[in-house]
Amino acid sequence: MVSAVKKPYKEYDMLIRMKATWDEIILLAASIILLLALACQYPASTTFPIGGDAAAYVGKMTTILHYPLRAIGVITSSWYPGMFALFAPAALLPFIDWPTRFTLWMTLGQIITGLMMGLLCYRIGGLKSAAAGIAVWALTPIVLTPFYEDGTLAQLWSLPWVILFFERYLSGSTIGVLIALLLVTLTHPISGLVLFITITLAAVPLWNIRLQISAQSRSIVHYLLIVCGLMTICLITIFTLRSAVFSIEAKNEHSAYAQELSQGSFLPWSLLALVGYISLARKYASSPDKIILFGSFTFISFLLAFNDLLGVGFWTPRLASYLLLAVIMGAAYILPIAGEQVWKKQWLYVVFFLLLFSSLGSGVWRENSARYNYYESPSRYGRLLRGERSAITWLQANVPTGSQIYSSMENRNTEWISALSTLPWTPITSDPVQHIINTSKNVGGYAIYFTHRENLPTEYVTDTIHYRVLYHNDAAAVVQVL
Amino acid sequence: MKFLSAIHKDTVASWFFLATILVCFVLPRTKQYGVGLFTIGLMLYMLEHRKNNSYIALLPYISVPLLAILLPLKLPPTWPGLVRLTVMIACWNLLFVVFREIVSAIYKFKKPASSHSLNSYEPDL
Repeated sequence: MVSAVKKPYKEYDMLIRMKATWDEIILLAASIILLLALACQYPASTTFPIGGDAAAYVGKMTTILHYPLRAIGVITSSWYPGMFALFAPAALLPFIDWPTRFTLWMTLGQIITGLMMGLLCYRIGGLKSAAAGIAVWALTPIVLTPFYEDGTLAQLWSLPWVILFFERYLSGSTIGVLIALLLVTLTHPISGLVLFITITLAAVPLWNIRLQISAQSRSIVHYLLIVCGLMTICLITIFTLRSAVFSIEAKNEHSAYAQELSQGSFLPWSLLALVGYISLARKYASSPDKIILFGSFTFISFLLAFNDLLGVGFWTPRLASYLLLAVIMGAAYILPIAGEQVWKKQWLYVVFFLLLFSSLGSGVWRENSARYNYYESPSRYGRLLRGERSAITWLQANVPTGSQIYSSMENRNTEWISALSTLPWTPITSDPVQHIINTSKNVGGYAIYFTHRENLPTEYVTDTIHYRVLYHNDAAAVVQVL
Repeated sequence: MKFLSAIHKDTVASWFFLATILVCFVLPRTKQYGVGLFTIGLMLYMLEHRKNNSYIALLPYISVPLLAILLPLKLPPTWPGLVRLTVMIACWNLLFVVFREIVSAIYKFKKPASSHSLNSYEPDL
């Protein structure tokens, strides 16, 4: 009989001294190697961050560190205030610039999420499930998740806390559950919202069965319901203050990631997850609160992932990640159990596991390699070009501090101007030089052109009385109005 | 039927589940065979555990999303994205809650009956 109340130190002691057999150690080691290899392929294959959001994170982080007085303004105006606290330790990394730090932090987020998934699967099904959970998550970069390609650092870093929320719930830690919930919400409010809807959906049945569950679970349920009420007030306040988010137009977006889950390479895991959940329902038949909570999360994440098929089509690619977590958890629970049913010898399952994931891993490696090469190729213009970066570095070194920089909005690469130079930058819909002449000639300023997608008007080069081209290379030009 | 009762259906179901993985990964263009194998495995698994009805608790979680796919809401296209998303979630959640209450009124949670099954593995926590 397991005692109802566990002391935390005892729990961690068990984690440290878990009696792992040789096959479990091999499986765990192999899955961690796979996780590290496929996650680190990104920084190893690229020389600059890919993803449109990367510049915003780097820009805000450098602003916070260079101008502490502006920090409060940056943090309160951001949707991801907690993310800056998580990203700030990257400043301690020596000899590398912020874009490289961003790439490494993305990689770290991917690895931590995988390890957290392992912890949750360990809690549900033991070390072999943990190995399966880590290995399946390891296969997800680029193919199944948009984080690397979109540079969505905050959402990636919110996933470990989403997983931790469920892991702490299973372990019966009230404090752990509440901290995880807080971390999720501060890191990425949409992830917090997903958990909030999950708890709201589960609230009524959890209340109904509160007398059937253990005292420990009951305590957590009570706290969750209180927090749910508080979160409702907080969310209403936040969304009232930032009601502009409700006016974002629906673009009928379709998700390639959800398609991968339902029809593509992840279909077998989705199918296995179904059996996993049926099996979990039997396992947790005597503690229905767990089924209700996991089931509610899976249900909500399904609606979000396939919202395009349900007549909405809003943020669909980014909302598929939550269903991915639910699928991996279910599949990782059942895979070792089914494997052991088939191969009675432990070593046979180990061989099967190693062959399966090494072949899948090499496939993902090849596929991702092509994608990284695409972004690295200057002709594809998938990221900031070296010439553009040189121009920004020149601005930082040569124009007076605080000078206003203007550029067009022809591409998102211009967002790197303020991120890499810490100079104030204003994007202009018209020609930036004409904007300076018309509106701020007295104030002055510099116009920068990224010539890969926009032409530098020839009059600015020939008319040396009115304009001066201060810097020019194959990808960018800096113009001053005289 | 004697043959069916003689074999350990969980083991056979597990064979089908692993075969599903292999077929889907080795023959990615013929995933329908994998889905077919999985369906057979699932049927065998359900047959083995037909007396244990704990999976009934999952019915709302499986059937309502399927219903949502089959009957997508026709929301006005002029509505903003987040409003459409909120309305969609609210509608299906409402149906889900009603369905779940009906199921929970019929089905009461029980302790697992079998120990030698796909659930036999318990972590050493």
